[in-house]
Amino acid sequence: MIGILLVSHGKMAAGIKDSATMIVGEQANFETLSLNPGQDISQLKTDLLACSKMLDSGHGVLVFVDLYGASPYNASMSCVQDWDQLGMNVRVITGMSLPMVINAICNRDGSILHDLTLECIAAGRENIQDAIESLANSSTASSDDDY
Amino acid sequence: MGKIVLARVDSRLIHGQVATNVSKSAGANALFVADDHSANDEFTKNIILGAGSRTGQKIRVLKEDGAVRYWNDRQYDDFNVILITKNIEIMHKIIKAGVPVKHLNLGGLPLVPGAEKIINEVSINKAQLDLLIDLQNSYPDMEIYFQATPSLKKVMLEEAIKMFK
Repeated sequence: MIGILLVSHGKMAAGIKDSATMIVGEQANFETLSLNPGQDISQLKTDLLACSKMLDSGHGVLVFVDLYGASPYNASMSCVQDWDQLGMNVRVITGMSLPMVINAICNRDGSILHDLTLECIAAGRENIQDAIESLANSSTASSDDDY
Repeated sequence: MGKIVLARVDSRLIHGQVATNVSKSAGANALFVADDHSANDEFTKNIILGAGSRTGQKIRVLKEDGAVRYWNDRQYDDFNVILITKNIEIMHKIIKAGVPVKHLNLGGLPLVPGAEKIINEVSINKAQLDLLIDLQNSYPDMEIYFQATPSLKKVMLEEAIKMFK
């Protein structure tokens, strides 16, 4: 099973995990890490490496970070060489969101990491809608029967 | 000929849990909501259709008697359907009218005064329990159980009955 790791500033990762669990139930191989005020970034890197190793059951690990270019991202990217040396298959997706994480959970069985990564990114994009506008433009075909 | 793979009672009708999880595990390719209020209100209906369509399943919002007529006329075409109502009363009425259900899932009913909590997500009162018992007596093979999402524990009707004693 592909492992899933969420990393954020503060409580976002834990919050997304909480929401995802409410929607799809308790999950295995699903962990979170957070960077807290005053915390050393090198500690986050150490935790990230340890946690990703723990989550890897041979099918790879999908890491979600909250922001592109920020500390959780930097800490993840500083693990890339370690992952390579360990022969681990890891992908890092930036701009973490609930729909992406749910997609990862629901589709990780029988999916390879590369495909799952692309699918999650597509699901995340698709979920961003101007809702009222979308409704006005949606062609809700009226059914041709009277049920 | 279609079939109902799962009947679900959920006050929220189609929402995250149903769209992502319940439908997958039940092997459905269609979600039918049977609810007069939603079927007769174009705006509500469009919201359900719009939000549901993202699941890739066939979504229909039927009148409560329409759910029965559609079955009698065309057996739900060739769809494997999850039939959803917002309460036990509507589901009871549809099943008693002859729509065949093998698995009845009580998935989400809020805790309101006078109701007994069966699982965190589902509470029912005595009258609703009696409707479920009536269904079980009429259709002994029907599996009637309380469960919010497929990964959580099932509580069967027999256990729920004991909670009222």
